[in-house]
Amino acid sequence: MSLYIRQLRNGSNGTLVGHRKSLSKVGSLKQVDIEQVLAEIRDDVAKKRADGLYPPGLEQELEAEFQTILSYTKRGITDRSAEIARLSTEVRHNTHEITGLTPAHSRIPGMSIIHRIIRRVIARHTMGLAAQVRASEESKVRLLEIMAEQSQAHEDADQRLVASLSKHVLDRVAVIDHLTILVTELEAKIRKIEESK
Amino acid sequence: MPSVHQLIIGSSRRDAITNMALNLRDALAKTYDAEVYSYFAPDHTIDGEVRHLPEMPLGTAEDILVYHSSFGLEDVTKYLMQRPERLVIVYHNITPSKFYEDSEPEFAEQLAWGRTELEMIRSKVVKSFAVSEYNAEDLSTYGYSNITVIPAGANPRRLDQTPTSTLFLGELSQHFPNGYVLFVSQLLQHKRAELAIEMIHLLRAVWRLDVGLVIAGPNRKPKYRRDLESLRERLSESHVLFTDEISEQQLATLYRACLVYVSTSEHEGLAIPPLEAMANGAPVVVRAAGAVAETVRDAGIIVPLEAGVGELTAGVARVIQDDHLRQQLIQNGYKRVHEFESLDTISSFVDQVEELFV
Repeated sequence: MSLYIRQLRNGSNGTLVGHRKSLSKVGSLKQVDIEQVLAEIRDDVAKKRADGLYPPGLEQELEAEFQTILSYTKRGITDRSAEIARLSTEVRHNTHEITGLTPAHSRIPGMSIIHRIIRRVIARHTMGLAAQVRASEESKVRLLEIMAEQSQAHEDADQRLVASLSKHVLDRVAVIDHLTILVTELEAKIRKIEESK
Repeated sequence: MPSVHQLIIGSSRRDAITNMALNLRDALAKTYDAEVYSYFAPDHTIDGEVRHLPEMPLGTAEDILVYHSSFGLEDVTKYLMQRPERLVIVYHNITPSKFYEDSEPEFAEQLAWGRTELEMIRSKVVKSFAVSEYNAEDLSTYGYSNITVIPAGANPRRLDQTPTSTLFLGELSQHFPNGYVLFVSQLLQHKRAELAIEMIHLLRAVWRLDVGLVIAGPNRKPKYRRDLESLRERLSESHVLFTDEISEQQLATLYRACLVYVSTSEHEGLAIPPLEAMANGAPVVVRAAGAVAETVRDAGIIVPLEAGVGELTAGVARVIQDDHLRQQLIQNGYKRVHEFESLDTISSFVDQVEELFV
C-alpha cells in the first residue's frame, strides 16, 4: 500500500483539514528549482534513449498503435470477428423462418378460407422454393462462420505478437539491468586489484 | 428587480462551467433576479439547481443575460440574437474543431459554429470576460476588446468539506497496492487520455515503477472510450482503471490519495482539475496546453507540448521517486491555490456587472 494512502488512513478526520495537518509536519523545505528539475528530466530521458530503454521511434510506435485503433473505429471496424459472428447467427435465424407459407388470416369475412385454399394449392411449389433458398442460405451462414473464425484467429495472432514484442522489450530491460550489475561488480574487482598492487 | 440570468449549454455537478455559473448566481442573487439556465436539460446530478432553457422568462433591454461561451449550437445563436436583454459574454474557450474533423464531423461542425457565433453575437455584447489570458487573446481575434480576464466563479477548494471515502480508499489500495497516477477529465479526444495510458505503460515497463493509472471522468464519447480500452489491452504493462462518472466524495478521495495528478490535454481554456488536485494535496505534472501553464505556474512540472510521452513519463517518475520534490510541489500547489483564491473573482465579476446598471 502506498505511503500516501497510509497517511490518509491514519489522518484524523478524513477531510482535507487532517490531511493538511499531516503535511505541516514536513516543515519548511528547501526550494526546488523547477527549471533545474526539468533539465534533469531531459537528461534522464537522454540517458534512457542512449541506454536503448527508449528505443528510437518508441513514441512514434506508441502513437501509431493508437492511430491504428482510431482508424478501425473510423471505418466502423471495432470487433470484426464478433460482428461477423453476430451476422451469421442472424442469417441462420432468418433462414429458419423461410417456410414458403404465408399467413392466411384476413380481416375481410370469408377471405381467410380463400387464402387457406390458395396457400394449400401453391404450397407444393412455394415450400420447394423455400427449401432451395434455405439450402443456399446455409452455405452463406457457413461462409460467415468461417470468416468469423479466420478474423478471430488474426486478432488472436495480433495480440500474441504485441505480447511477444512487449516481452522482448522487458527482456531487453532485464539484460541491461543485469549488465549494469556485472559492470559494477567488475569495476569493484578492478579497484580491488589496483589497490592490492 | 432587474434580472441577470446566465445561460450555459449543458449542466452537471462535475462540469466546471456549471459550478462557476452557480457560484456567480449565488452572489448575483443578492441584488438581482438571478438563475442559471441550461440549453440541454439539466442532468440528475444538478436537477433543481439549474433550470432548463424553455423556463427562462423574457427580460427587457434593461436586463442582462450572461452567456457562457464554450460550444456552438445554431439554436442557441438564434436564441441569443432574438433576446431583448443586453448580452455579457464569459469566454471559456471553444476547442478547435480540428481534433474532431475526422472522427466526429458533426461535433467538429458545432465547435466551428461556436467560433462563427462569437462573430455573430459581438454587436450585442456589452461586456466581455475571459477566464484566462489565453482565452482573452483568443477572443480578441474575433474583434472583442476591453476583455476582463477573470476566472469568475472558479473554486478549486470546492471539495474541501467533502470527506474522504474509506471504502473507496480500500478498493483503490487493493487495486493499486503501490499507488496510482490520476487523470481527471471528461473523456474527449482533445484531452489525449491515450498519452496517459502510454505513459503508464512506459512507467511500468521502462522505469520499473509498479504503479497504476486511474482515468476518472464521464464517458462523453463512447467510441473514444472503446479505443482507449483497446489501447490498454494492446499495451501489456498498462495497468489502468476507468471509473467513468463518480461521486464528489470519490473524486476527493482520488485526488487526496494519488501519487501524482497528470494532465495530457492538448487544449485547455483554464484547467480546473490541476487546481483542484493542488487544493487536495496532489503534486501535478501537466502538458503546457492552452492556459495550463498560466494556471499552474511554478506549482507543477510543466512538460512542453512538443515533448514526447517519454518526457512526460520521466516527469511523473521523478515526482514519484523524489520525495523532496513531491513535498515541494504539494506546498507550491497550496500556495498557488491560495494565490488564485485571493483574486475574489466573484466580487470582481459582480462589481463589473453592477457598473452596467449605472
